[in-house]
Amino acid sequence: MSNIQLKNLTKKYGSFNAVDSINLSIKNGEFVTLLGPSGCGKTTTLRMVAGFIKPTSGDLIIGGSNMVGVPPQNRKVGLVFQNYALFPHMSVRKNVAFGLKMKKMQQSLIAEKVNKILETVQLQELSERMPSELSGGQQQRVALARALVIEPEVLLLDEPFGALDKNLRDHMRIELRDLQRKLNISTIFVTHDQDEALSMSDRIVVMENGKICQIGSPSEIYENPASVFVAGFLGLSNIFSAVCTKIIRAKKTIEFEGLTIEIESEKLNKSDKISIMIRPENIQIYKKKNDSKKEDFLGFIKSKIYLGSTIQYQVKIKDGPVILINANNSKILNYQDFDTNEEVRVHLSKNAIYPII
Amino acid sequence: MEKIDNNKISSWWLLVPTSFLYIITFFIPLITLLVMSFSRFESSVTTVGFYLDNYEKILTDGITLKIFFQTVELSLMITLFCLLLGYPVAMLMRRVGPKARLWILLLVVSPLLTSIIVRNVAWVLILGRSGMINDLLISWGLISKPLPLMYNAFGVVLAVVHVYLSFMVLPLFAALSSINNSLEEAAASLGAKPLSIFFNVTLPLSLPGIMAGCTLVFILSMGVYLTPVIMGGNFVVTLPMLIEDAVRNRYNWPEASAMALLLLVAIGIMIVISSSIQKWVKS
Ligand SMILES: Nc1ncnc2c1ncn2[C@@H]1O[C@H](COP(=O)(O)OP(=O)(O)OP(=O)(O)O)[C@@H](O)[C@H]1O
Ligand SMILES: [Mg+2]
Repeated sequence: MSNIQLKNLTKKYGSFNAVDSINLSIKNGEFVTLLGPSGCGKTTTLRMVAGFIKPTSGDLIIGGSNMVGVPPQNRKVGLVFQNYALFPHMSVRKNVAFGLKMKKMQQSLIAEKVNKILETVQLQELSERMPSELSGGQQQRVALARALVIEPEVLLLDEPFGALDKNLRDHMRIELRDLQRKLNISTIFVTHDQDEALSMSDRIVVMENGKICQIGSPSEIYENPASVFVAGFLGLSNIFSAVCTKIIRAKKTIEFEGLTIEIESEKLNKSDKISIMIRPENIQIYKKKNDSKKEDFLGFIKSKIYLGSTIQYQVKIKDGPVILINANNSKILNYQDFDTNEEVRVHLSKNAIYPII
Repeated sequence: MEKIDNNKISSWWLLVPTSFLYIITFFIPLITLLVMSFSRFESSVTTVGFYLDNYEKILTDGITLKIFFQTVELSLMITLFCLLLGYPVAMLMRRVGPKARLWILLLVVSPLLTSIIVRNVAWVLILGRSGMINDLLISWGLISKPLPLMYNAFGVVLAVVHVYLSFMVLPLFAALSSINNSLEEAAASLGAKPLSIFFNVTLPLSLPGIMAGCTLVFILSMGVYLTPVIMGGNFVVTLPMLIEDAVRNRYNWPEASAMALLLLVAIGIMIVISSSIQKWVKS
């Protein structure tokens, strides 16, 4: 319920920058995800916000006041750990009530609040159980309830669904997001699962080596990645180095891996060396026998992976690269099946090609 | 399934070497002790049978029972001081890095690495009437005559705590290091101050270690002999000293056996108490 600002926040271990001068501003009620490969500094950032790690330099402002040097117990931050960290010697009810008890709240008020939050996470029936008598998903919800019942200004979650199986994870995602919206609580969520990041976030912060690579909405990050790293980290992509060989106003001709193609871009100059990204779902393939357009490329199916809703082909383009293509496997759209080694036509529309400059 | 069962059975053979050791060093002596304690000792002759003479004497002579309770009291005191001194040490060991941890550990077990005679002579030099401490205090003019630092319960407790501290610290450290740091962090983020975190999270979760350490130190203290003899200098008498006296000066094995069994019963009671405390806290 409070805005959060990280200003040049840095954590050094010796000369190693675990978190390297990051700037991030989170609005009231916003759900922001830190996404990045292992060791990029996500947990370190989160723990600085929670107050368990003292930043080497920089400022952390929550709800207008600088939190650097303020101990965790005075930060009004709700924290959910990857391993849940439920108190094993306390029942579900006592776990959830702990934070309120620490606030020396009246017994009757505590009971009321605990009941309400247990109801919200649908755990009323299990309130007298011990944590060891709960399933992973139930423990997760207790952890969430315990963090939320103290009405923190900020909710921090470090890979909270890491230990859950896929179905439960999908379910918990929706539950958490609903709850977060309902309580309108500013949230920082850490994950290295791109699906989780894409499906839950208002904004995603992509990190690498302690630095922020890009901040943006899921669609911005997915469709307009700022770097090859971001493009490669989120979703599948074909990434090639290309050279711009000809310019006619906004029409630019680029060459990559022996292919020549015309795209539209404002920024490109002649002889610029760039990278281009083509998402596999943006490439179409057709049977060879259909009358071909002249800009299509010829190729053959090198391999085929059945993924259920889509089929993933590797297509070797004649005198060109091997390219990854995701074809829709819907039986009611213009569904076509291809066999390995079958010759195909590949249609690369210019909208499909995203230059990373 | 069958295979696993077979494995389970055959695994018991792993116990055979230890069983031999236990039979020879534990069960046979224990049975001998039991038989002996019911035997009769009259004019230096031991008659095996079922007599209650020894127990009757122990329970009614007014002195043995008193010394027994003194021994229990002394052991409880030693256990308490070991706990109070050992807990902070174990907490520190958990917080510092592996290198510092090793040094602390070495420091704690160092008394076990020195000979008991050297250790006790050192105590005499430090605590004695003209030992280091008394000399210093007198030369600074803080006291006029030497403080009674040894040849009393204080000296005995101090010296025994010094040796047995490691038996408290090790189980405590094991219990404390099995507590996940994130539990204390979770408590902190829920608003608990350091003292609340300690009493609500750390202390209850380290209870198994406390119980293990206390039981161990208590059992050892009930049987400690040489250190109280040197440090207590006849002013502190414990049950093991009576047993030694009965065996060595009076050749009265039956009475010694009965007293040894009394010691054993006390230890048994202590174990029952500590395990029922743990069960009670759990529920
Ligand atoms: N106490 C420490 N001393 C030295 N280096 C540390 C320490 N803690 C973390 N690091 C380093 O800081 C970097 C960032 O660690 P962090 O735990 O923030 O990564 P992460 O992004 O959370 O990774 P993961 O996804 O694996 O959890 C890592 O390279 C790690 O090795
Ligand atoms: Mg992490």
